[in-house]
Amino acid sequence: MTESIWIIIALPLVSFLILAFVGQRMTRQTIALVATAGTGIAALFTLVTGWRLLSSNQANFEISSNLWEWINTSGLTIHMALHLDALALVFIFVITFVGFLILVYSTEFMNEDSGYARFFAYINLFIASMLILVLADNLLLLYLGWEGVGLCSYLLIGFWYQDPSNGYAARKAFIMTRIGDTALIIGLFLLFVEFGTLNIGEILTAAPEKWVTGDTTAKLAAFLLLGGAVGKSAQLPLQTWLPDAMAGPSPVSALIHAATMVTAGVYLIARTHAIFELAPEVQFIVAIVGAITLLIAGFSALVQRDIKRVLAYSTMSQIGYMFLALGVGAWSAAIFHFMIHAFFKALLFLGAGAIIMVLHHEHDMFKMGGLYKKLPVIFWTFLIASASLAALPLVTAGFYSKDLILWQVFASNIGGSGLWAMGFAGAFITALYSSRMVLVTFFGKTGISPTHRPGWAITTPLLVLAFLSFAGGFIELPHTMGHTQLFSEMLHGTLPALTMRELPANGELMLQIITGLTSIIAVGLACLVYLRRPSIVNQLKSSSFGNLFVRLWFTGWGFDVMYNALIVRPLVSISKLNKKDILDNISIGVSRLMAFGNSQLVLSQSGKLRWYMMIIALGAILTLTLSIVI
Amino acid sequence: MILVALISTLVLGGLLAMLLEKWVTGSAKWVGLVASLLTMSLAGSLWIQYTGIDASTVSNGVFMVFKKPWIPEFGIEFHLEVDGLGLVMVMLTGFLGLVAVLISWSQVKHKEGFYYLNLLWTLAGIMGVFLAFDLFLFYLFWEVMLVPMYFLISIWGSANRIYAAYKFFIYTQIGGLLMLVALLGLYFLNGSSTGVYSFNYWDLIKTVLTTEQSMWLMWGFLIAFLIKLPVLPLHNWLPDAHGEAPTAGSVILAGLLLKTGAYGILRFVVPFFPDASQSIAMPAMILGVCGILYGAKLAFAQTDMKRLVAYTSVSHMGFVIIGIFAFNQLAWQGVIMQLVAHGLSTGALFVLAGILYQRTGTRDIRKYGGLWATVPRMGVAGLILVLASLGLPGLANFVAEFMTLAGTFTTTPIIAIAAAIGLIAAAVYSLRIMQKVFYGQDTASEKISDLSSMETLTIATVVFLLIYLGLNPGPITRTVEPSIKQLISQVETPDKGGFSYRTQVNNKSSSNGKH
Amino acid sequence: MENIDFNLLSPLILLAVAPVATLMVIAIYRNHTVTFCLAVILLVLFLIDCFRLWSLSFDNQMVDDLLMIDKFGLFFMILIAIGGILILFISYSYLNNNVKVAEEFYVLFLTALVGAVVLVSSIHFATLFLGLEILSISLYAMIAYTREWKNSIEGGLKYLILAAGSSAFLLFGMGLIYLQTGALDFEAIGSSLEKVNLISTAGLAMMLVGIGFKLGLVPFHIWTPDIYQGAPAPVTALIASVSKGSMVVVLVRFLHTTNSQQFAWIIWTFSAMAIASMLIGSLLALKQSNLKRLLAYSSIAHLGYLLVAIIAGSDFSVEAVTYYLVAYFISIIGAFGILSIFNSTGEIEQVSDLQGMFWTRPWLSVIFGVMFFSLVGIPLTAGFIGKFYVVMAAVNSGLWALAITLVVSSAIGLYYYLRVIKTMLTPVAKDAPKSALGQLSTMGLVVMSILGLLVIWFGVFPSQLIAVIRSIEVL
Repeated sequence: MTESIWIIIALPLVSFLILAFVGQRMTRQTIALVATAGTGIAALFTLVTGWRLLSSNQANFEISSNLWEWINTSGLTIHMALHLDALALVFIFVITFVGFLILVYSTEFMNEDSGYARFFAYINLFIASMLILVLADNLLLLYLGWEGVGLCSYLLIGFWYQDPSNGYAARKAFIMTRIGDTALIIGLFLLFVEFGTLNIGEILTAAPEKWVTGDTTAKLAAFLLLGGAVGKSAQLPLQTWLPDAMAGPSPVSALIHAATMVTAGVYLIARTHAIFELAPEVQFIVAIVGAITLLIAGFSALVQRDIKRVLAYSTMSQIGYMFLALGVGAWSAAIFHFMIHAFFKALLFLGAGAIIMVLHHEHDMFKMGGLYKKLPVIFWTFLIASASLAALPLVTAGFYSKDLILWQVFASNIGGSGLWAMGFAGAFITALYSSRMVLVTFFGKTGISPTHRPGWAITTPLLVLAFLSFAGGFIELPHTMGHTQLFSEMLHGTLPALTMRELPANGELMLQIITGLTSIIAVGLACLVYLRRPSIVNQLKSSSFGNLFVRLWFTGWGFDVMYNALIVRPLVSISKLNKKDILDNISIGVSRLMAFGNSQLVLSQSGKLRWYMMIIALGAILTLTLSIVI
Repeated sequence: MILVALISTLVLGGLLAMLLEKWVTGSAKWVGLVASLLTMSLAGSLWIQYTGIDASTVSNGVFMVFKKPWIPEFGIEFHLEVDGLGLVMVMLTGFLGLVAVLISWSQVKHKEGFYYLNLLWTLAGIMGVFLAFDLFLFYLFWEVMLVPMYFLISIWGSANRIYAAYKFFIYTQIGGLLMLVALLGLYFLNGSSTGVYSFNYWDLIKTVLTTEQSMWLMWGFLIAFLIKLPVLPLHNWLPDAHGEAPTAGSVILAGLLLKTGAYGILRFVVPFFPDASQSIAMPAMILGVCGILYGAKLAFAQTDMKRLVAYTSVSHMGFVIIGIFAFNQLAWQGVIMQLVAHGLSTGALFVLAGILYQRTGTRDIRKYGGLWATVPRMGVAGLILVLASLGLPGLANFVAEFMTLAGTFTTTPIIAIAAAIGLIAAAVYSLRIMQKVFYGQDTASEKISDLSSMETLTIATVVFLLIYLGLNPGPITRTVEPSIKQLISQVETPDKGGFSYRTQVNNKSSSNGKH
Repeated sequence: MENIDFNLLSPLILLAVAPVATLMVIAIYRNHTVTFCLAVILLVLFLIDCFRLWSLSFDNQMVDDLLMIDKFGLFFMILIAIGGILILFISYSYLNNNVKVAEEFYVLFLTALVGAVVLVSSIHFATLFLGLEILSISLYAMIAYTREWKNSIEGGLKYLILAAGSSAFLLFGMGLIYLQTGALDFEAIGSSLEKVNLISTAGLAMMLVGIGFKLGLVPFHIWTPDIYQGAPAPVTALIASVSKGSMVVVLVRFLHTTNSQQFAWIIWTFSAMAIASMLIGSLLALKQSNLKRLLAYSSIAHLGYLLVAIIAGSDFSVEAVTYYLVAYFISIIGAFGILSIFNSTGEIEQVSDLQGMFWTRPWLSVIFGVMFFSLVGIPLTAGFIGKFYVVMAAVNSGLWALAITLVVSSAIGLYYYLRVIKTMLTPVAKDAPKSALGQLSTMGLVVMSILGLLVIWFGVFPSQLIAVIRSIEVL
């Protein structure tokens, strides 16, 4: 059974094919059934496989499955082969399980939409692609999944294609990630040339033998991989597509732009960790990128009005944490945060989607307000998820995962107090904006009233995810409290452990107390300024200095404006410049020249005899001259 | 005999279509269909025969020869051969020929007899180009295919067809004549040194040339092929010809005619002038990169659907040039893959553009929009073809581009990196098609009809092949492998004296010591 | 004279008798059809006689230093005869439609052929000049034969004056050479020409002027369009084929026998003329809307191509010239033929007259297209093999510049040839007045079909013709 892991991919793929070919002719119930069944069974299959693997007590379990030979020519051999280890297991668990919940949610959420079958076809294709990405045993197959998810992201952002702006958002997302992807594929070329293979396992084994730490080629390779990762994971400097990607339906945002696809970059870096370890400078850049992104995205999230944009910036910021963790070598901490983040962020998006649905597609939080009584299930689940995002100490999963990262950043021999401080500041901001979001949406003065309460298909996934957002953290508890290390032990065989520097004995507890208190303070502050004394915020906003920052943050630090001015507009204007293809003038010029020659020459054909005679005489003179001169 | 049949079926089919149409109106298309089906099945049987052969038993991949003296005074033979490379191209020709006939089915309404004559004769010419192993014969087919193509464009094309047809003809004719001059130069140089005046490929390949000679002669060949390919800045015939040609014409132009250029370089320029062609590799690759980016830029700027697709061809053929001049086995495999993949995907894209034009009466993409809702099948087809064009993994084009660039990276990384930027550009212009045509609100007053079942079948077959070859390119790569190996051996060992395998093909003595 | 001479000269004598016989028949019974039949029969007899001689295995024979009867000459006699017969067939219906008194045309025609036949076997200045003048003088009258037309008279007169001028140059050149060498036959001249001398050089240059004029090479091409346009189409065909062809032959013979190609300046001058002819000829034709003028300009370029082969001077050279001439004869006679075989007064003159012809007269248009493709040099036509031969000769002798010029000229040429073909393909608007083409003569159509098939035949299976040409030796 374990060898046939391809079934996990095949199941959603079959759903996709059925929906794509005959989806138009099926009833909504059948579509819903087909759509959820594939991923549901895959999730079950994953659970069973995972259970068997984990219970086998092997320290370092792996399953490989070779399907067929993809390319085999001229020294390039690539198989359609899958590889399952602990790292992949975490990912496929999240993909199938969260994916299944989101599909269930969508059966109700998308019910009114005419593109019902199309939607589920795309989602299933996405899940299949994402699974390929994660399970690929070589980088080219990974790239196939990588591009596949990009495609589905494109299709789903532009799902409501009638509005051209959605199409443009989709295109922006695809092209910006493609920039990163191109770096990645160049990285693949480099690795292929260096190692003669693209098999991940072989490369990871061969790399330390071939390169010494700090090798230029290793740096280059790592840098190119990082390029791919920042594009897909919306990190600096390729982050600007993610807020616009919210044009897609909310389940899409939950699945693709929060839980799974955007974390592909994290997966890639974790997967190729050996290369990054050989290029410490680049690995440090990973940390820097993460740290900066988490801060700037946090600030942006603080001032958004659109609830989904808050969440988008928040996602960017949380992935920044993961990058930060990866950058300091806290590999398993990054993956742990990925999982927890997938739970609570998917929940947040789903909750936000449900609110938007019942509020006539209103996205503006400031028009909502006072919803806590009207939508109790959504409120409570949203609250739990937000608390997890804000990392309220002890009771939320987010606390454990984020705390782990912050402590390891501090403790790592790569990281240190500087990076820790950035992460710490980010944590404060996170707590602030998540509280703001909850307070503005559910409390305050009453806004639009909802049309109805969502049904079971929407509430059940919310409840399940809420449970996970609350309890998920208990599988990995810090030394200081409980000391459970189920998660990192599982990953132990796949990812290396953190290298620590010398630290005072009780440092960890101190830091935990500080961060825990900080998030509580932030929540309190948010209650004060957003609920009790909004005048403080208004004053801040109206001051010229504050106004400037608010506007800057609102537009995502002006990156869009900058890219538009520096890249997009020049390129568009260049393309307008030479629409007719200036090189065409070569042929036009030649033909003009010929026509000119013709017009001049025909003048000689005057029809006058004396003129003809003269030309002949001139010709004779010319011939005579030639004969004598030469 | 099967080789002759491949060509003669098309020639005779064309004649029959023309004549029968005079008697029975509407019969030409059926004749066309039967002829192209027959050709396809002949190509298929050739394929089956090839797969049945143990590759190691055939010398350098050539597994079927047909030779008849033709003009013995000049050493010209009616000499056809097929090896793996030729076979792939023959299959492509057979398939796209069928597509061209099917797509003309409902689109060509007047002068059908003459239309199918030209269509089938163009295909016959192309088929001949891929099979000829006598250089005179090759040149003959090379030129002959232009004439029916000229008619196709100038009679059944759209508004600006006359200009386009002229341009097409004159551009390619200049290249062709230069090739003729170079070809004869080679012929005499070979003849005077060996005493055997022959146009036989395997004789001429042994010609010993000085550096200067091979440089000049190579340019003669190369310009002809580069015009056809086309490379910057010789590409200007292409947007006009592709844009104005009838749908089937565009399919053949993009799918097959451009490929003859690449085929020519691989088959003739590289083995005949290995040193000379290697010495210009860098400038050629730079031109290739320029072509990729320039073509992409212009594709992005176009508002005419067919011109847009035409410029994407310029861009894609840039990869082919880079791949060829990388002089690397993997890159060449990629090039051939690219020829097939681009032939299929761009051919089908032209089919789609033609259908859109037929239904809406305009090719201006600004006047389309929101078509997904009205014609979902067309939308799906368009999406997949556009994705193929931007090189999405899982489709044949990706495999092609990957192999080409990976191969190029091993020799000249900087070029591969520069070309990879073209992948971003491809995404930009390809998605623009989706955005303008299928996304947005449908503003047209009249609803157009979706793909008919025959059109669906045609495009679905192409899509199937693209996906199949994208996931399993083995059938192509394995087939051309012996040819590629033989070609690369020419480049890697410029010592021409040491080729023993030629004697198996060529009865004439090849043992006169050179060098 | 010995008997053997009569045997050798029998074709010439036969042909010389032909116009006289025709004239006598006309005097007795004036009837167009009868005269036509007689002329054809006489030409066929001539042809048979030529074939008879061809099949005899004999050494190349000189007749008193004046004429050379060899296979080379015979080949062209046959070519001239066949061309002549074909033109006669074209002429018949044409004359029926356009002139009141047609019979004397045949006399002039046969006389012109006598001149041409003398030219192709000439190895002496005397026969050269004699042949040339017999040919030219007949042509003056034939050009002006449709005397109701202003153009025709004008053309005849222009040709008369200009040709007389050029003959003067030729004659003066011969005189100078005679002054220097004391000889009039080519071989003797050749042996004395080895010493370079101002007078003989000037003499050769003067001769070049005369020859250049007859061939219509730049800068002596200036007469061609007016004459081509003015002359009745069958006569134009005669000028384009027989008149120019026989001049090429005598030029080849002269160069070959005297070995004048040793002089660098001759090669240079010829090269300059060839390049200029190829380029200027094509350029002049570029926008021409009158078909006959267009063909006139194109003939300038074609003679340029021929000159390339002549310059090459290798073994291939003569073969190439011969093959090219055969192809050119067929194609150009065919092209002019189409202009003259309609049963209507006047002729097709404007390119636009052909509009839509492909859809109304497909077969004829296909033939016309084939002729034009042959003139362009598209494969599978005789013209292609001809051009192939020329390029071959050029490349073989390393004349790269000329070969490249040929390429450029062909490319330009393509434009105007295609323009004509395009016009045929462009359908006429439905409300347009009916084309004035009129009915077709059956005989004309048959002749055209034969020509069309010949073009294809020699294009696809050139082997036999090449073998025949190879068997010829120039002496």
